[in-house]
Amino acid sequence: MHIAEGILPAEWAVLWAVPAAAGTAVGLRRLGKRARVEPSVVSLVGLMGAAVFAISLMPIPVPVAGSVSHPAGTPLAAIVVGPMAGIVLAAVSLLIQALFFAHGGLTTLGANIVSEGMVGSLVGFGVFWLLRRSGRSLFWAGFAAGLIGDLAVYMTTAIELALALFPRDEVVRHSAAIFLAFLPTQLPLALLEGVLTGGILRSLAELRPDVAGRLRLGAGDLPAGSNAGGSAQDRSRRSIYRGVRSWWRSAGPLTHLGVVAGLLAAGGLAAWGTVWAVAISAGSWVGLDQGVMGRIAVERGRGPWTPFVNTDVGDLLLYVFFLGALAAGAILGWIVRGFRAETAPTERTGRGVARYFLGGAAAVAVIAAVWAGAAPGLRIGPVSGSGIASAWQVLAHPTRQKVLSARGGDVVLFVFMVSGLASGMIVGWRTRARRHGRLRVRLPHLHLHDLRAGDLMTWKVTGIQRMDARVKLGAIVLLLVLNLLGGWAVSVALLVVSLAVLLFWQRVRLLAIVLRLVPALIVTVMLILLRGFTVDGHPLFSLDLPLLSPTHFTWEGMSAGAELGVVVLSGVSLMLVLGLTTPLPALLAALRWYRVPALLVDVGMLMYRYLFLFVEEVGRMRQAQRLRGPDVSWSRSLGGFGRSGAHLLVRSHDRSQRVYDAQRLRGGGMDRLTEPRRRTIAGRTW
Amino acid sequence: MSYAGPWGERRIKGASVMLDAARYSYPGGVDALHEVDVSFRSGDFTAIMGANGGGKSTLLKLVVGLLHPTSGAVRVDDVTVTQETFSVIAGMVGYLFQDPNDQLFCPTVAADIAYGPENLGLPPAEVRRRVDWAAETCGVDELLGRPIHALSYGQKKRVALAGVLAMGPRVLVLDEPTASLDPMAEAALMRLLKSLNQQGLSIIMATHDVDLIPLYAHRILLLRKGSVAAQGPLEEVFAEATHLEGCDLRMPRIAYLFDIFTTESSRPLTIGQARRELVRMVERGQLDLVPILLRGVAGGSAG
Repeated sequence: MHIAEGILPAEWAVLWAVPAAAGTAVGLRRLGKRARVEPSVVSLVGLMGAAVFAISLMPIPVPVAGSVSHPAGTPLAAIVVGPMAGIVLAAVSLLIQALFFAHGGLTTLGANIVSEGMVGSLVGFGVFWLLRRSGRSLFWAGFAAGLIGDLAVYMTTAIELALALFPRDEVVRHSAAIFLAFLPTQLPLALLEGVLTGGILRSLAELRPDVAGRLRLGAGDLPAGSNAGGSAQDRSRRSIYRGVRSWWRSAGPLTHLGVVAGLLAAGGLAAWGTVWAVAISAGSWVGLDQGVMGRIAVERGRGPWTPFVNTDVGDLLLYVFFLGALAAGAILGWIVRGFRAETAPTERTGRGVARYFLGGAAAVAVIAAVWAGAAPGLRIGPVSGSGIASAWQVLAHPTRQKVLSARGGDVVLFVFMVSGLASGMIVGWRTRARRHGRLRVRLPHLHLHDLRAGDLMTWKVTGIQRMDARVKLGAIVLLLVLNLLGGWAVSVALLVVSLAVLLFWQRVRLLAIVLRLVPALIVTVMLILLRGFTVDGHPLFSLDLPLLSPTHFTWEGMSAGAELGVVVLSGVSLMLVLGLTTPLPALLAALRWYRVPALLVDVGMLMYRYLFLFVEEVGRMRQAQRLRGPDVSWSRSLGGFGRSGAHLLVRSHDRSQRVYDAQRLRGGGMDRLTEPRRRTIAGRTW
Repeated sequence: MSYAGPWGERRIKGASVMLDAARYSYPGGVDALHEVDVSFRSGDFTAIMGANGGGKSTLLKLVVGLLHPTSGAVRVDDVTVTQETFSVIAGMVGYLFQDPNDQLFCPTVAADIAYGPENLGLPPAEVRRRVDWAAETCGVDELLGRPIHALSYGQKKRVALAGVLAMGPRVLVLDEPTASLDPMAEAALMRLLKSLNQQGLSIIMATHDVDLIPLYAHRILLLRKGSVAAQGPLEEVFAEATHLEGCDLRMPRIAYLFDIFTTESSRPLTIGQARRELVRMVERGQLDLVPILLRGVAGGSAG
C-alpha cells in the first residue's frame, strides 16, 4: 500500500497530508498524555512500530496500481496500543521507510498515513472492539480485525490512486479496478494477516496474562485465574477446530489443493462480486460532485487512463484466470517436484505414477473448468456463446482465430496467467519439497542488509555526507516538490543527477542502488508497457500473437507511461540520496529541528533500535527451534506462527522495556519532555 | 590526559543513598522486598549479595527510580526518589544494566556514549571531550566509530559503562557487572571501579561472585528472600558463617585463607592484618600462595 514517491500530483499530496497531519497530531497528544502517567507506553508504541515496519518492508510490487503489496500490521498494532497511538506508530514507520529505504515517499506520505495508519488502525480496532463486545473469542475478533483492516487499507489506497489519477466521473470504476488488481496478491495476504493477528492475540493472552492485561486486551472481562482461551464456549469452538484439523491431516494432497483453490476462488469471487456491485451501482452517485480536484487532475495532464482492467467487457476474467492458473500451477509444481522425490521411495511405485497422471488430468481440468465456467455471457473478442465452445475453439484452432482483444488491456491477462502459474508452481514445488524434508522453513531476511548498510555507509566520507542533515533534508524536499511540478524534463535531470551523485561521488555499489530501485523500476516498465498498448496514437510496432488480435504499441502511450515512470524513478532516487548518505538518527534529529514533535522522533529512535532487537530475537528463536527439531512441516509451522509471533512479541516486549529504561536513565525518553533541554545533533561520525 | 573527567579536577563528590523502610511488591503480588532499612554512605563501595530472586535487582531499581517503593522511601542525598524527580535522580545515579544489549541503542559506539551528555544539554565540545574521556577510561577508544552490533559481549559491556560514566554520576549502581566476562576483562573492570571509588565515587554493586568481593568492596549487604540478612563491613559479615545461610552463598576462598592463618599460625589475625601480612609475605617471596589456595578451593567445595 506504499504509494511510490512521485505517483501523486502535488495537489493530492498536499490534500492527503492534511488529514494525516491532523490524525497524527491527535494521536501524539493522546499518547503524550498517557505517557505522563505510564512512561513505558512510549516504548510499547516503538516496539509495535518496529513490528509494523518489519511487516510492511516486504514489498510485492503491484505494477498496474503503482504501489506495492504486503500485510499492513496496523490492525494488530492498534489493538495492542490503541487506535490513536496506532496512527502515530504507522506515521513514524512510514516516515522512516520513506527517508531511509526509499520505500513509499515523502510527497505520498500523507496518503500512505491515511490508508495504512488511520484506516488500518481505526477499522482494525473498531472491528476487534465490536466483536469482543459481542462475545467473540480473542482469536476470531483478531482474525476479523486483521482481515477486514488489511482489505480496508488496500481499498483506501485504491481510492487514493483513482482519485489522483482519473477524472472525477471515473473514480469509482477505477478504484474498483485498482482494488481488483491488488486482490490476487492481497487476498491471501489479508487471510494470513487475519490468522496472524488472531493467533498472536490468543497466544499472548495464554502465555502472559499479565502482559495481555497491561496491553488492555480485554483481560478484564476474562474470568479470573483462567487464561483467554479457557471458557467452555471457547473449548467447544476449539474441538470443532480440532475435528477440522484432523480431517485436514488425513486428507490427501489433492483434496488440500482443491480446498485451498476453492477457498481462494470463493473469497475472490465474493470480493469481485462486491466490487462489481459497487461499480454498477456507482452510476447513480458518480457525478454527484464535479469536484475541484478532479478538474485539477485533468489540467495537470494526469487525465483519464485507459483502464487496465476494463470492467465493462469482462476483463475481470483476469482475476479468475489468475486463480485458475494459480491452482493449475500448484498442481504442476507438486507433480514435477514429485519426480525428484529421491527421499521418498514409495512415491515411485506404480500407484505414485498413477497419481501423477491423475494430478496432470486435474490440472488440465482446473484450467478448462475455469475457462469454460468464466466465459459464458462474457465477450472474449469475436467469440461468444458457451464457455466450453469458445474454449474448444481456442484449443482446436489456436492460430486461425484471434479470440482475445489486446486492446483495453487483455494483454494483462497473459501476465496474470503466467504469474499465477509461476507462483502456483513455486507453492506446489515448495510444499512437496518440504514434505520430503528437503527444504527448511526460512524467514525472509527482512532487508536487514539494507538496514545495516545505511549505518556502514560511512567508509567514504564525502561532502554530501558531511552536509548538515537539516540542510540536506530541506533541499531534498524542495527537489521532490520540483520533481512533481516541473514536468518530465526536470524529472529526467533530477534522476540523472541523483544517480550520478550516488554512483560516482558517493561510490555506492550499483547493486545496492538497483536493489532499492527494483519496485520503482517495475512500476515504470509496467507503466510504459501498459500505456503503450492501451493509448491510441502512432504505432511504434505491432504485435500479432496467437490468441490475441493484432495490437499496436504506440508512441503516445509509451511516452505517457515513461513520463510518469520517470517522475517515480527520480523521486525514489532523490530519497535514496538522502537515505544512503545520512544516518537515521541524524535525519531524526534534523526532523526535530524542523519542529517535528519530540515524541514522534523518540518513537522513531526506539523503533530503529527495536528493529534490531526483533531481528536478534527472531534469530535466537529460530536457532533454538531448529536445534530442537530441524524439519518442521509447513502446516505445523503455519499453525505455530501465531504462537511464535506472540513469543516474539512477549520477549521483545520485556526487552524493549529494559532498553527504554536505560534510555530514560540517561536523560532520554518522555522525561526529557517535562524539562526541555538543548540537544546537539546526534549520530555524527567521530 | 589533560581532561580530568566529567567531575572536573576536584575529588568526586559521591552521593549517599538511604532506603527508609522501603517495601516493594510486584503487580502480580510477589513481595520482592520487605521493609528494608539500608544506608549506603558517600564514597562507599558496597556489594549486594544474595541468592537469585533475593531482591538484589529490585533494590537497585528502587535506588535508580525505575521502580517506586510500595511503602517507605528511597533518598539519594536529599532527593526523594519519585516519578517527578526521575530526571534529577538520573543525573546523579548511573545504572549499568546486567545485559549491555539492553543498554545500548544508538547505531555507533560514539553516538551511544554521547547520548547521555547530549541529553544533559552540554555544549558539543564538552560532549566530545566526555566521549573521548569515557572511551579511553573504559578502553574502547579504538571502537568509537564502530556500529554497536559489531561488538563482542565484553566490548559492549565496556561501552555501556562508558555511556554511564560520561554522564558524570555521583553514585554508580551496577547489576552483576562481571557476569559472563572473561577473567582478564573482569579484573580490568574491577580495577577501574576501584580507582573511581578511590576518587570518591559511591559504588553499589549486585553480584554473586563471592571471591571477587573481598578484594574490592568495603561493605556488604546480604539479602535473604527480600529482607536484610546482614550488612556492614566486609570483615564482620564474612566473619559469621551463619550470615551466609539461606543466601545460597559460600565463604570467599580468601576467607579460607584467613581461616588457615587463624588456626595454624601462632597468633590470630584480623582480616585487615591478614591482608597486609599476606601482601608483605608474598612480596618478600616468603610465601607460595598456590598450595594454600588449592587447599582453600578444596575446602570451599567441601563446604
